Amino acid sequence: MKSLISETTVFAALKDACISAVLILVSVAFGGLLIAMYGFDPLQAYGVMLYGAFGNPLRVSETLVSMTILLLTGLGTAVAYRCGIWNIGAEGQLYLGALGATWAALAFSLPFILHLPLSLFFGFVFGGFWALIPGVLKAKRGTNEILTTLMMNYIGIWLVHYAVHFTPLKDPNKVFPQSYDIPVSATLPKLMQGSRLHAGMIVAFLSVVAVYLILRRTTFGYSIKATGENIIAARVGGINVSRVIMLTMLVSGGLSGLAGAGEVLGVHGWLQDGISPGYGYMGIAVALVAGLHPLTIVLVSVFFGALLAGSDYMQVMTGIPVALVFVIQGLAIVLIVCRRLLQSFLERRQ
Amino acid sequence: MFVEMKDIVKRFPGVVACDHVSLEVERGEIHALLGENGAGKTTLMNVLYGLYRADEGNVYFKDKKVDVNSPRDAMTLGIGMVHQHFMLVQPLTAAENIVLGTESAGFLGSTRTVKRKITELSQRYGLKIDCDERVWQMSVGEKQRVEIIKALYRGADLLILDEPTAVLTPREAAELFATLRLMTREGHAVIFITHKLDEVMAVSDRVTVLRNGRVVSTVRTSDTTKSELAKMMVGREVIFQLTRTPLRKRNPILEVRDVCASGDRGHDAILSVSLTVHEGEIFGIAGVDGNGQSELAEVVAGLRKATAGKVFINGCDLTNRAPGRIMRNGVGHIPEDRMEGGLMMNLSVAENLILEVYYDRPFSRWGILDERVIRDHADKLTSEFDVRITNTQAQSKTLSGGNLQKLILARVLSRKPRLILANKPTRGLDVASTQYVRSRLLAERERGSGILLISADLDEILMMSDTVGVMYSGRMVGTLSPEQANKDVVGSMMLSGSAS
Amino acid sequence: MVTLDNFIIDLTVSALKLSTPIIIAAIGETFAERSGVLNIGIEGGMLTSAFVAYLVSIATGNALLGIASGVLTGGIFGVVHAYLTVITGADQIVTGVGINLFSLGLSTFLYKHFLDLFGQVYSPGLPAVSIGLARQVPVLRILEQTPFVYISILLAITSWIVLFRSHFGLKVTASGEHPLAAETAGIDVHRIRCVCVIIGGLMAGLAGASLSLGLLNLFTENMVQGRGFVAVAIVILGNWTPINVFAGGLIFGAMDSLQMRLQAMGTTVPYPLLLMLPYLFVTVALAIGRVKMPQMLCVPYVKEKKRRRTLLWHVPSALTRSGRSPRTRDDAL
Repeated sequence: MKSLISETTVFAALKDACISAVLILVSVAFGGLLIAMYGFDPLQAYGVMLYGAFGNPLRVSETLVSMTILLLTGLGTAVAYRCGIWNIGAEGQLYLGALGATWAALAFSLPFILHLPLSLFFGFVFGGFWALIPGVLKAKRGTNEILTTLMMNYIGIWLVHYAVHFTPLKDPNKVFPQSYDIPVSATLPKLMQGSRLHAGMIVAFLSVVAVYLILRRTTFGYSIKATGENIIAARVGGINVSRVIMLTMLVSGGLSGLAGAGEVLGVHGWLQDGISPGYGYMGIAVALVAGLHPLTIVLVSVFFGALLAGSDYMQVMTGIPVALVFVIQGLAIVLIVCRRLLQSFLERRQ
Repeated sequence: MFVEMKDIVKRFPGVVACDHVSLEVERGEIHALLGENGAGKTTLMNVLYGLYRADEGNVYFKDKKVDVNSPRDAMTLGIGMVHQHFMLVQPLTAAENIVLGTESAGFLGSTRTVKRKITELSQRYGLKIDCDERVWQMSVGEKQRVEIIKALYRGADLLILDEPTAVLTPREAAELFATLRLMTREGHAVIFITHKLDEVMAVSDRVTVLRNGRVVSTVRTSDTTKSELAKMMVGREVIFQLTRTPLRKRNPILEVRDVCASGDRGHDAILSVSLTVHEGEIFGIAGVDGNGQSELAEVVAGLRKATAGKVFINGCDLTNRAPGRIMRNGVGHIPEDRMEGGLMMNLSVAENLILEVYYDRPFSRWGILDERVIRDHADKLTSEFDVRITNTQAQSKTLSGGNLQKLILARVLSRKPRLILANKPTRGLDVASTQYVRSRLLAERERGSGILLISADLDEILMMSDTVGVMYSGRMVGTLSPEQANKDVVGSMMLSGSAS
Repeated sequence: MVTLDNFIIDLTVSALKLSTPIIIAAIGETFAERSGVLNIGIEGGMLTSAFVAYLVSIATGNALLGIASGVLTGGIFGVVHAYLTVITGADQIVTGVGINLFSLGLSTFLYKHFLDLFGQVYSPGLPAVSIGLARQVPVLRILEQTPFVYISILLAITSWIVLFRSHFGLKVTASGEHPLAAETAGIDVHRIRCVCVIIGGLMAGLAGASLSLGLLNLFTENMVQGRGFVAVAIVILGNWTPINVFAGGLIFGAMDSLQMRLQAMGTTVPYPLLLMLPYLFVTVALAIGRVKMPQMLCVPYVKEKKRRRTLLWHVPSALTRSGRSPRTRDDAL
């Protein structure tokens, strides 16, 4: 885990991010080659993409919408990784969170001031529970969490599929299989008229602050860091590492669950299958590229979100497929992860 | 000269594991390599076997300089090694493990020839194994026999054994020695890493003693005695005499009754051990490394399961309870390995210092840490315990060994525990730090804590302890009062289990 | 009329067809995982290979060339993953995620370009074997499959022989279980792992080609549809042994096929719960410890010489959570 939990002071992480920026440019350049093949001028195309991410308030809102989801899944993954747990189940935890929020939204009839928080809460709980299962297995039985969380992803996705097709959640009046519409009392209010940007972003930012404070200033955060740093010494020192692992997974899954809740309660307004085109996996990448620090995760998720929003716009305007952005993201991830290792490898040589 | 290692230097960050070590082994010889844990024996052999690369120095094989860059090179030369922790692949059978890596291509279809060769070796050297048994089904002794055949199968002329008898019963050990003697009669040479003096005397022709990475001396076994060897191996110059006030025993703080526990390799580490430590007393456990002392400390601390017996701390039955709970009952544990088992190297000094207390007032309230209190605490402790650093927010990995140990002392002792488990607290420390640690422990004794002190340094035990318990092969073979505890008696018990 | 006989035969035919890409990819992944490397990037490898195979077979009009190029593409991805995870020791999961994203982007991007230029084109796939007798003896219809299906059976058997009856197979098992022991036995763990990951990549390439040239004769966006991940699950379910992996893949194919039929028939059988089952089985098997995972799966191995390790005092295993045999912290670097 040393290579993951290396520098975690903000300054060091920022320095990391700057060097990563160079590698990102390399990936962007590669993307430029592909654009050229399409017969477009890469600079012009990127200009359009940049505009698509930040050009006008509406575009900025789109960037922020994508950022919100990635921020939460990235945060969730990072919390687990800080504890030394390789949680790759953000995708499944997201789905369960969406399910939980949907159920709470539809099952209860309450005034807004109670209903929305309750639905978000259930999103957190369902996602947290989904991560808790592999967490318990790891803590009590030493079961490898990489494999269990990976499997839980698929179980989760199919569970939602099942819920949307076969349970009373399903709205028979709709053409495509989806749940009933979420009542207004459980909907995340829009932050900007005419955009998709919803109050989930505020939840995401609050989560960043919360995670940062928890890790830095609370006993729980301390136990997470200690366990992640040296589980043997933590145990010698009297920390109940079993409990720490389980609680951490609960929080980790809960954050990804909030991401799913946000999708349902803020973006779509109902639950359908396929609500996440891999946001969970992107979240893992976000967490690692950002060096597991809450504040840099914000930056990285803005960047990834900008790529997604910008490419959408670029496709509409120029016909260049959105898929270009996955190329850039994928290449950037691989280069950055590789470079961090190169760096620590060089450090060791000295 | 069959094998010669000349002036080998091997450095790791922060420590010189081998400091200009020279070793020579003749054909047909059983050469023992003796020393404490951390003396550099295994490192030296790892260099010979190609697992490590020496920073300086040369290896000569049959009077020719050779470069051993990998185990493959070593095996080609005819060097085989049986490691302390078995290098066997669990799901595979004995035959498969033996044959592993010997051929690059081809199928195992030729099992008949392989098995024939294995059986032949097995019979020739008296090493009984079952070719088709899988490793996870084997006993410890069987696993070792497989390891030895593995080396012989590859044509080893020189066989290196790292602490081979640590997990064997006396009878199995005797069988092993018979095998080794047989091998040397056939022309093989054997290097035998150990800390058991009995065995050195029983089976080796020559012995080289290492201490802190340097060779103390190489002698013919017939020319020396156990106590001489022990002194070479373990004795440290007693530079300062520590004053100790007369013992004022009070109530028992720790009572261990008939405790049994297993070791890492599945063997019996502790067999029905009993002892009592009183407040204001230092109970020193003397014994050569690996006779169950560490396991005992772990059982008391709640880190290892006691398969039988009971542990009473201050009258409460705390057998097999969680470590945290035991600590909250006034127990402090100074672990054997300060880095792996004691500290979080990437966290700051201040963060390490609150490991055992962070959840309590005044360090935290309602789950929130109080940074100022933590910082003040760190400042206070680092000055009180003489930890030489300028910034308590610096990462712990920047500290030297002596300072790290003081850090642990600070962490543990600042809680004013009533029972202190000190496991080799001065190992690897320089003289000044050693002195500091010892005087600190004595101060705790003054204060009224009971201390269970484990050390491989007999002088240290005798100097510090009120009561001396001697452990040998997992048993407490003697508990001596201050009047009875003298070097000869204790030394003899340490080395052979009895006072004679 | 749909008789039970016909239904079962139909099911078996399509089960074999559907499971083949997964089986081929899974067998390749078995090699990689047995040696200690988790490669979830086979999803991406399959996708790009499917596209390349499709493209080349159309360009040259030769399906075999298409397959060869697909395999080659898979191999290239394998080399990349091997280099990043084995040689430089990068995190295996993230590397896989990155490769998947990259693949998804690249294949979709290039395909859309292709579509613009040429429109929907069918590839010259490999035709299914046709057995005349099948008319009289319906059961023989099961044998009317594309060559890919037969290749997958062959691969399963060959892989089993290689992994369990050859020296190379021993080395692979050792590298995944106890790489330190392997190194002391003179094995170059890095080389073995690289070879295995590349084998995995090559087979993923073949699996991709079997999608665009066997199962369907065209390419669609993201046509792998998660089959790469299913392959990873099947490897676990099959306890890392090729024959069991084959069986697991068949079960999956059968359920996939069943699910499609049920959907088409418009039944109320909750097929998602069925599809969930393989993953549930795997999770339960993992939980109760019935599967014997290669001990060092997903843990990068640092050769002894390169370790920055300080002298390791005796670290008792009681202090490690699960009480398994002591692993030095460097093992997890």
